[in-house]
Amino acid sequence: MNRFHAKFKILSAAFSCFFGITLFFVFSDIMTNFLGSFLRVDPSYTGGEVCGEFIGNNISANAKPELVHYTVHQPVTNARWQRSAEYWQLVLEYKNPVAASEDTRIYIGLDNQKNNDGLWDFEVLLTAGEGKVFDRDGNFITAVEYYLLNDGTQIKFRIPLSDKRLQKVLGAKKTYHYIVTEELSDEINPLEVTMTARKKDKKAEAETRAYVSHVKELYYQTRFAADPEEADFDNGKPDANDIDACLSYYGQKIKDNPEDYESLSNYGTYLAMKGGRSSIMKATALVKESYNYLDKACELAFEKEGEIDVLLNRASVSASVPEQVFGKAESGAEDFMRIVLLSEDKILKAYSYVMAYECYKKRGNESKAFLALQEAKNMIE
Amino acid sequence: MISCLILSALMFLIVTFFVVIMNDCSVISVIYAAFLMFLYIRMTFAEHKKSGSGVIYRRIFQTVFAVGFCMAFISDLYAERGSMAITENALSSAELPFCHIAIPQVLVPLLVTKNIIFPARITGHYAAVASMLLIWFICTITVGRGWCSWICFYGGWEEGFSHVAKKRRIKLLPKNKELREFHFGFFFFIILASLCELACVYCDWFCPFKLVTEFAPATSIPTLIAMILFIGLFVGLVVVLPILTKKRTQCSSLCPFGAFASLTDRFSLFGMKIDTQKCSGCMKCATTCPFSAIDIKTIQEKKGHPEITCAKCGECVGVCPQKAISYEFRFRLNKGGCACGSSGSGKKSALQELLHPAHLFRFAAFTFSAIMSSGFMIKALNLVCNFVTSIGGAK
Repeated sequence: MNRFHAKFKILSAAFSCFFGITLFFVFSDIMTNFLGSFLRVDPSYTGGEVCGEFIGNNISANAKPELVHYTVHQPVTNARWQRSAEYWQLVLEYKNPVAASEDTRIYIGLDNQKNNDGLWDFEVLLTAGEGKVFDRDGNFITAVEYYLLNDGTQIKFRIPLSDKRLQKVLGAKKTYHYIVTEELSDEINPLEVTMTARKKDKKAEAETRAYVSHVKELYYQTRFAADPEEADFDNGKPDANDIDACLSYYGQKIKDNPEDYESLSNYGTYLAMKGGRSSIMKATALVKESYNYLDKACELAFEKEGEIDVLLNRASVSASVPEQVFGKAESGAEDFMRIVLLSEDKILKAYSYVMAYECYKKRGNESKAFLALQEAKNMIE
Repeated sequence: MISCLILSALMFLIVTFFVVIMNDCSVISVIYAAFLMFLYIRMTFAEHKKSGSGVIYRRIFQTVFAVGFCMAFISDLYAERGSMAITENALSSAELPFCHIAIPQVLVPLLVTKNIIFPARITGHYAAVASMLLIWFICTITVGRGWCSWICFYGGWEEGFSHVAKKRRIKLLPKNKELREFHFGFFFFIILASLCELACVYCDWFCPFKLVTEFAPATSIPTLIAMILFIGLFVGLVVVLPILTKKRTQCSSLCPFGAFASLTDRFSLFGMKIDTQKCSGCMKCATTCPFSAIDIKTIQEKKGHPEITCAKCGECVGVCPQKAISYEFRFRLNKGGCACGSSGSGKKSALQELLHPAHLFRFAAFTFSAIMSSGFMIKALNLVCNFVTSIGGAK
């Protein structure tokens, strides 16, 4: 028995060495994402726990329409490796970089420091590239740490809490925010934020998942209703499920016309599909090869009729291949965003936004993912 | 011989997949794959002929990888930020690259605070927290501290410098025990300090490899002190002392990951065995060991295995005139003694040879090395090629 036990151990060790490490690296993408779902960076490094989040039209009637997301974090104390050990982070996200470069005023009131008129206690003025905090009398208090991120669509600013007047934020239970482009008027209602950390909203997450699958289903229904993938034997087009036949069909078409970008794109897509049904080694080689055709097709189809279909093929492949192996999520998201620009079809646009959301999520770019999802929701509720 | 061929064929498949196919079958990737295969085949056949004679290929690989890694990493930093200095944008967005040295510093605070105390991405990047933690875990249960001598992309600097001089100028052998004690003492200090500060204290103040990767710009007195410290530590522990002592002084006295890997090495599949019946007590192994893992007492007390800090580099195997040191499965190593004579002598079948712990360990370590290095090395080789081409063009 002991001998058998020892042999079993040796064989397990041999398997781990010969195949275990290789398999780990091949499937590390899945494992990394799984482990990553349990981990999080200490909030003092990322700006504090989120305690208030406002989306789109809910932000303020007087704010710029391009402002799509406003996040209020809990104030951070004793932060390491940051410019200020005590700070309060607020984040504004815009649809486009131009809007982010225009002036914005945020009037902030604290529940523990209310003035008689009950409006606001200090003002943050954000101009291009910098931000300043003033008190009610217009006296300068401090400059904020200003970060322009995500290709200029996100303004993250941190108010240093070194000044006594600002330190009251640390004790505030509620804060009130007015985001405006001009002077503050009495008609605007503030955004009320309870300064406690929000718990992970499992219900919202489930709703998002349901929304994403709903949009995808809607797209598939409309697409296949309009263009049923049936064998088009009249044109010699083979059954779409017969990958090898499709490959030889499109391969022949490419031979006849090497500039035929639709055939190039289809050929690349079928190669990737074939990869999905092959062994790991072959799959990687096939997917890599498929990009030669997909990239060439996109290049040839640029600003021509049929560009959307060609882009859609490449983007779909990019969205479905393992990120850790191929690293295509970012380019997939870019392709989907270009489809949004080119297409007039509302459902296709929503589908592209949803797919871009998934690609950005894969890349760990939460901010862009959020924006893409919001845009999709604007298309289809 | 057959086992060497089988191992080489298996390694060929791995290298072809991870180095050539994953890098679009580019010319550079083929060149690097050929280089890796050359090293592995030479190492395997040399070891087959004479145990311990293949260590030179490990040294070459690790040194080349360390230089290539830093080149690729620095070029990435310049592309992203325009300098090696850490920017406030990167810090505030928690976008710093996370490396294995930070792992022991974040683990204890993770248990206490349930947060990672390092401003890095959790996923979505090659140097993200989750991917590095997984690599560490897989490494721990396979090669253990073998990471330091085979895979670590910083260790190659010391590996290279420790083989620059022909003669040992400073003999550290009598101080091996003190060195190990200092290493673990410093490790526990770093863990405690990281827990108290809720920040990676070693990365902040001591890491010498900031000089060849990224560093905080000297904008205040503390950052200036940190800069002086890391430059001094790099010059002292990574360059000068390895040249004088022919040992990896930073790895065996300062690196918290080294100490941590030593402590967790008991979970790995492999260990080193000293056959006390064969050992003549010449102390050549102790003098050679770059990690100060064998000292006079190890031999005198007939422990049957090196000390806890052994990184399984295999240097001692080659220098032992009695062939008393070898790789062994950890589950076969007897507690407090050795499995002396258990491997037996005489002719072995190909399967027995294939399943020999030394072969398996080297295969596992080299697989790790090849996969981990492929992306960086190809980037570095591309940089070198572009540089050479631009010089050629200018001429």
